[in-house]
Amino acid sequence: MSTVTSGPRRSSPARAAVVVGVATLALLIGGGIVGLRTTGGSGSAPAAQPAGAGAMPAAAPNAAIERAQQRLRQVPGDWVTWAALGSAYLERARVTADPSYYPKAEGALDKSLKLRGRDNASALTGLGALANARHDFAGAARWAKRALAVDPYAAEAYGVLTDALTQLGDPAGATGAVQHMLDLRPGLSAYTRASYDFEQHGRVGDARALMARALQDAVDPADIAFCRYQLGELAWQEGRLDEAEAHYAAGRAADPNYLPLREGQAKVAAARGRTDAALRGYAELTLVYPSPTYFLEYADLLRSLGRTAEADAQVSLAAAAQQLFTANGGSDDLTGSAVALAQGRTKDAVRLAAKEWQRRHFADVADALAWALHADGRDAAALPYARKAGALGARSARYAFHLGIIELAAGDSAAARADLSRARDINPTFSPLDGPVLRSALTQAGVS
Amino acid sequence: MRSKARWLLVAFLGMLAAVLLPATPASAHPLGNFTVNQLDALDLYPDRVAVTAIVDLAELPTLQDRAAVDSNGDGTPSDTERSAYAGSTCHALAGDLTVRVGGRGLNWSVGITTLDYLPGAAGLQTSRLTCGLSAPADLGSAAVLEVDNRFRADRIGWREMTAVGHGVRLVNSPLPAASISDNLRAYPNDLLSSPLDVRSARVSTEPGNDPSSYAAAQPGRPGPPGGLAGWSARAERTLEGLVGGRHLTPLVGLLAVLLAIVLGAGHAALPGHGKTLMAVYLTGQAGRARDALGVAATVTLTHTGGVLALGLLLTTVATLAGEQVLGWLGVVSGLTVAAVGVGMLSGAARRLRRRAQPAAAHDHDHPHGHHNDDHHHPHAEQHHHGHDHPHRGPSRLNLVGMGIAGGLVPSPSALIILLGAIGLGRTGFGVLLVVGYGLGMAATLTAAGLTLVVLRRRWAGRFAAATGRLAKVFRLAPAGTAMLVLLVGVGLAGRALTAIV
Repeated sequence: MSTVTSGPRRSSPARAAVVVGVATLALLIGGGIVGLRTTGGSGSAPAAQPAGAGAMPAAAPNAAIERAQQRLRQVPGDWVTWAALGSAYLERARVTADPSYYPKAEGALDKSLKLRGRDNASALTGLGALANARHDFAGAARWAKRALAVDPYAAEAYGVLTDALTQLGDPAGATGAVQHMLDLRPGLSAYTRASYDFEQHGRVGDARALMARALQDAVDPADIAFCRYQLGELAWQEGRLDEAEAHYAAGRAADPNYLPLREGQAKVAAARGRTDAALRGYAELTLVYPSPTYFLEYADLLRSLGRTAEADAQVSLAAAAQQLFTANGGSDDLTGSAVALAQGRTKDAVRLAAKEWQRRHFADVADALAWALHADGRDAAALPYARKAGALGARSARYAFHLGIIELAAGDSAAARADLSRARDINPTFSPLDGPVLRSALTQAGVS
Repeated sequence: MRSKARWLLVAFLGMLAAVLLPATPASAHPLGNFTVNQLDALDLYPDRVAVTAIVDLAELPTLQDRAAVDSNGDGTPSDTERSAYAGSTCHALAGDLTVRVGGRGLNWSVGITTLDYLPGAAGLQTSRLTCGLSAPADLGSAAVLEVDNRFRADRIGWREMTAVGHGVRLVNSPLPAASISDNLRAYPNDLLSSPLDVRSARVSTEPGNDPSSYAAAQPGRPGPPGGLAGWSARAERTLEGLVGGRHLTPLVGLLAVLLAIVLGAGHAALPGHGKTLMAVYLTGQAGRARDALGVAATVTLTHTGGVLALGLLLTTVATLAGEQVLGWLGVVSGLTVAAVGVGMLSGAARRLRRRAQPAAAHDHDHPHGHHNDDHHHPHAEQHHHGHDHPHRGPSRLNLVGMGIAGGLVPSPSALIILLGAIGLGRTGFGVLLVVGYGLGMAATLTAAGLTLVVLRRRWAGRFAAATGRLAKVFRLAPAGTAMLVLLVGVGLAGRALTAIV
């Protein structure tokens, strides 16, 4: 055993070197072989499907984001967590109205999909939700369908599909999708979408009942605020100002940071004639959340008060915000049309609304196209679109008002009388600028 | 020679890693086009506090404020209008920025104020407001400084604070000394970081200079250090990228394994990895080439096994925190080293005692050349030259213990690579890489061990002819090294324990 000669002593490291060399070679070849078989050990399934990976209004998205970030710093290849992080970023964008989280969400979701191309339903669903947020509804529907092809039980994918089909003007498809979602996972996300579906069909009572049920299910303050805002909107659209105001206030008590509630309160204040409060509300809101829609509403209020220069300033801000939205890769010609109309560029407004109509036959788009055509003096062309806007039965004072005005201009005063009266019955205070127009038009049409 | 070749390889791969590593993207306004981004850069002097407050307004807020800037409404903000606006806005900012020293609020005087317009997205402009604020404050003795910024608090945006002491030392400052956004010019925008939102801070100060405050910890992942640790950090990230890549070509797989081996070698070459211990041990215990190999093999086996076991554990048990496990493994490793130290000590004591009676004469005899005693002679020879005698070399148990102690604490990078591979469903590939990692470690450790053995043999050869006093020192060396190993083991265990408790 104990050899005293120096021979073995020298040969031992040499032998070891040979062994190490052979082992290294084997390893290198092994690496090459693994590289050849790109689909390595698929038997080891990733940890667990995250419960809130989709657009489910997650509790405390901040905590979810931090957890996912930390996990991914340790395990950069964990595609399940990348998808969850993307969805959490998207959720954060929704809650804070901060669009800068969109690129982050996209990056995380893309990464997940890059790491795992096959059967990655959560990443596909997340990308669909992102497309919806960016108003690419056709793209969203495609993502959702791909997710459902991989996992037919992905409730959140049905949610994304519902949103997309609603906006694309496929009400039957949307109703079917939301029904699937309700069957798979009855809960907050499904209730709020089903409620919106009822609202589109004019079934306001059912819509309210479902939203109230969603509110019962809501635990997170941001979710409570969201449900309260929707209940407030349902009341507002029917002109029930007290009820709307109560919901908005309750929502703000739950989560003061949910910004749309401020818009609700401002417009109720304007309808009530509390002009100062309304102006203050809009001024604050547009500073914190400068969206084109809010700028335009603010401008309408200013214009109704005769403050034209200030109104024009808000319209140009709306135009800039819209410009930025487009520069960031978004495409929303519906809003573009509204901005053009507010700037008096009626031809552009028609062109943009028509472009959007080509993309999707949604009621709001039909209404916008009709109104732009009317502003451009083409009432005959406007009439069919104005009718299409209300075809599904949505109870909207705005649609009815636009239809009535167009009918009046087209010379059909009987129909105009009926539609203008309907608008007044639904919500006579629907707009600070158009409310007085409605009243004078009613007189003109012979309704006292 | 061999070592030089290895270093060339290392250098080459380090360069490769630097090339392969994607740069971190930075974007103009990561928070979107309606953000109001703020930085408060605090400079603390013994007699005053100065703040450079920078407000970077994105396109829409710039446009919204434009009406306020352009006070005469002619459509262009003139220089005078700009400076008037900058002055009034900075005064508003000064009112909303509270700094308390010892509970007393400071009264700002507003110095230089500027407003600049910069080209932004969609043909619009962004603006940049800079306010120089200063206030007398007594930081000549220990003080606590509380900062709170409420300027435009409801706006979304990046919020950053920095603090630097000049003749004032910051004690464990929560604020970094330098801006990570280059003073709101380039916002870090990697997918795994949320925007900074620092609105208040509490800084303790002492009199004295504080150069270290410049190196204060920055939030997020620290940048890679230079030198060996630097390339190894870069190479680690490259390997992580390779593992996570969509397409594994044979070349990429090969490269990944190669990189894993090099990383393992580099990891073992970094300080504080039990090599010193092994060196001390082998020197003190008359180690042989085979011993060096044995320790290296044990380290590799233990490390590979440890990483695999821990990786498996961490992926199956979700509640387990990696840091905690690593901490406890550190304790176990330290205790193992201490145990080896105890074993060495008892062995050394036994040997000394055994030698004590006959060697009392022998020790005197030996230098005088009375080598007549055939019974003692070979033992003495073997001891001095420290070679192949099975009873006098390091015990196998001690060797294994040493190897286990060295390999027990898995290197975080190997663990991350394995976990990443498991997350991707490429478990086999991950295991392969970890084995490669261990092999690399073994290569370095073996090289280090063999070098030591060779060196020792040469020295021992020289000392064979040396005086008796030195020989005595050599005989006592095992006891000394045993003590040292014991102390180091206890120290390691204690350090690991304080980190987790």
